[in-house]
Amino acid sequence: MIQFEQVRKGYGGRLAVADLNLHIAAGEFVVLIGPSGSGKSTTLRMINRLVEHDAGSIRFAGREIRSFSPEDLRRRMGYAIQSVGLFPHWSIEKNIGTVPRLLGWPADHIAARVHELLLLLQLNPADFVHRYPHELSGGQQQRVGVARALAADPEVLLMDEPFGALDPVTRIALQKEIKRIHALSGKTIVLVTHDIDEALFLATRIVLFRDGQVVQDGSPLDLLAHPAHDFVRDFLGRADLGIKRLGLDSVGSRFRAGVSATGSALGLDTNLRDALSAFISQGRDSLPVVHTDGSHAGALYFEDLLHTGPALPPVTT
Amino acid sequence: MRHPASPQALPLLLLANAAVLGALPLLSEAPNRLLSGKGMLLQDALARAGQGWWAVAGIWCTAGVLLLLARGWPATQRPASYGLLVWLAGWVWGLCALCGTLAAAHQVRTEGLGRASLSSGLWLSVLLVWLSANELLRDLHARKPLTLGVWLGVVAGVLALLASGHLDALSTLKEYANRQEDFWRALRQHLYIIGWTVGLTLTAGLPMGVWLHRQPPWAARVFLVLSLVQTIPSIALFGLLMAALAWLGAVFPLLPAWGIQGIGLAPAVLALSLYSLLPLVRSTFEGLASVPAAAVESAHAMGMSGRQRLWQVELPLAAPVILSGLKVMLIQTIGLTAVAALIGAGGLGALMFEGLFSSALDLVLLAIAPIVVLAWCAEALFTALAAYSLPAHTSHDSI
Repeated sequence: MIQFEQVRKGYGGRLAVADLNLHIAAGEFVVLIGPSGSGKSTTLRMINRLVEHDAGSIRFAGREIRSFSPEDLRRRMGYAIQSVGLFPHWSIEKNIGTVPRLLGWPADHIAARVHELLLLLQLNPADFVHRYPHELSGGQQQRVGVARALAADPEVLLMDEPFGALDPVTRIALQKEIKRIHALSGKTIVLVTHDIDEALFLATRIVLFRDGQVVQDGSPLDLLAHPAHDFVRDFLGRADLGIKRLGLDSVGSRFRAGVSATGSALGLDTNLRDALSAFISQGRDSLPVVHTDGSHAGALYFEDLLHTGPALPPVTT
Repeated sequence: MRHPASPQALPLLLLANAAVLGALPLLSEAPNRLLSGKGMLLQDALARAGQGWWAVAGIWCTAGVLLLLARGWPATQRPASYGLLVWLAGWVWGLCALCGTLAAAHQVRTEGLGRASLSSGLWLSVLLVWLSANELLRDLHARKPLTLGVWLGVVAGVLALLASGHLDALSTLKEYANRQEDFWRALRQHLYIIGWTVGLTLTAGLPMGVWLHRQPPWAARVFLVLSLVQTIPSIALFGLLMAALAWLGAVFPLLPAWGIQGIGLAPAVLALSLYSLLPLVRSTFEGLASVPAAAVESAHAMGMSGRQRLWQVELPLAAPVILSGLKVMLIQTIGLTAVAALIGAGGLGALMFEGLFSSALDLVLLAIAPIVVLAWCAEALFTALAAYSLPAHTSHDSI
């Protein structure tokens, strides 16, 4: 879907991105992560030509992006940013309909699409279509921002730290939302963040940047299990690597079916990190596991947390 | 922005108003156009006007005191405040009507030669009424439409008095009766000059502001030049342009044929436009700079072309600032156009200078009054425009 070949971008003699090779396949959820100034945002913004690359080639849907006009290219890609950037003088309805209107969709078609997107982002259309951005909370604004980015059913969704300015509760709610939308629509999503937990939660693939170069590129489990570099280990958070690993897996893959135990029950989709917390806080070494409908499924033993999956490298602190 | 109204302010203003009317002449009567007049206090005026007027004045003062007392009581505070607004309007209309009656009597006594003109007491009293009404409106937390309505009501009453002919004997109106044709021609010319100036400034200034916003390195230089223009006294600028245009006319004989020559409309409109550029260009530039960066980035990223970005996002969001610049520019032009009379552009300025040079103060007043009214109208127009352009996307409290 998107291919970077030997791409380079400099700002006044300083290289922001150096010889970048990156292939993003259709349907991937790629998270670009790294410290400030590592080139992750520049990489994202080169995809829709908000930043023009100096050398190399970037291809979108098989064509060099410079062969598109910037307007056409951008209308095929959704874009959401940390500061949201809703147009303050337009109603929510008009904001979400921006790109469809630019593309010349008929008005009733746009209205139907806006309605559909508000439902998708769990905003009640009747309450929101005629309101203005300043009347919404930060979380609601970002939901509208995401809806606007999705409006014209773009092939790619680009997101630059979209949840960075939100409070933790809202942030987690929206992360779940975008993960659900990805699963539902199968869209290609490229998201920039510096929050490793967000990256581990959302990504099907993480690309870690440092000083304009890719340090490691792989699935969340790959990164946790085989950090290529001390830098990667540091970035992931050396001390709680193991805890983070547990966060990627759920009770469903480890529990013992049909066995019973006492204590307050875990759900099948509870992640193992939360399960660990439950063992410690309840002071037990086994806990019952239930289906989503509440019926008994089995039990999880404390030692099950250690089994299966690739071994972690020894932690050196 | 609103200061809490102090409870003593209104009674004090009304007391001051009574003192002004007791001590300063309401009307000045002169035996003819050239001799200076003799002032007449309110009590003399009432005595002269007859029993009926005394009775009206007495009733009005009593009503005022009662309304003031009622306003001190929470249950009747609002109705009493509205009542006081009407009462103040009546005050203005009553004074005007009284002056009209007395002026007419003076005419009869002097067989049409005498001049009765409004004097300091009346002007000061009207000013104090204005302050009192502001105090009341602020206390009522009046929104713009009510405020505008009150002023329009007062003005409409005075206009009705004018139209009825009751004030015709006042000196300024006698002057008007003599110079009616000149007056309307001057007013038309005045509006014509303003129209050309605003049109020219808009067509040059808006694009210039947009261009400077996109080419910031040029902004500092252009603003330096425009600020320099503003520091040139208007008469000097008119003179400079007269010379320049006269020279151009001599070199290109076609220009004078199109009406572009050293004296008259062309240099006036040109000079006024040059003055107007700074407020308009600066407000356009600053308005565009005030557009939230995130909105501009979104507009880019959504795939808007440069023109779509400008018309759909940047200009609408910059509009309040641009409108305020337009208001400054329009009010400035309305006033400065009077000076343009000195280079033969005509307009109300011509009438004003004629009055000044012949010591006919009534003529000066006749020429200045519409200028003041025009400026007020411009102010009211833009206040209304601003009120309608904002509330859709900003809360009232943040303005």
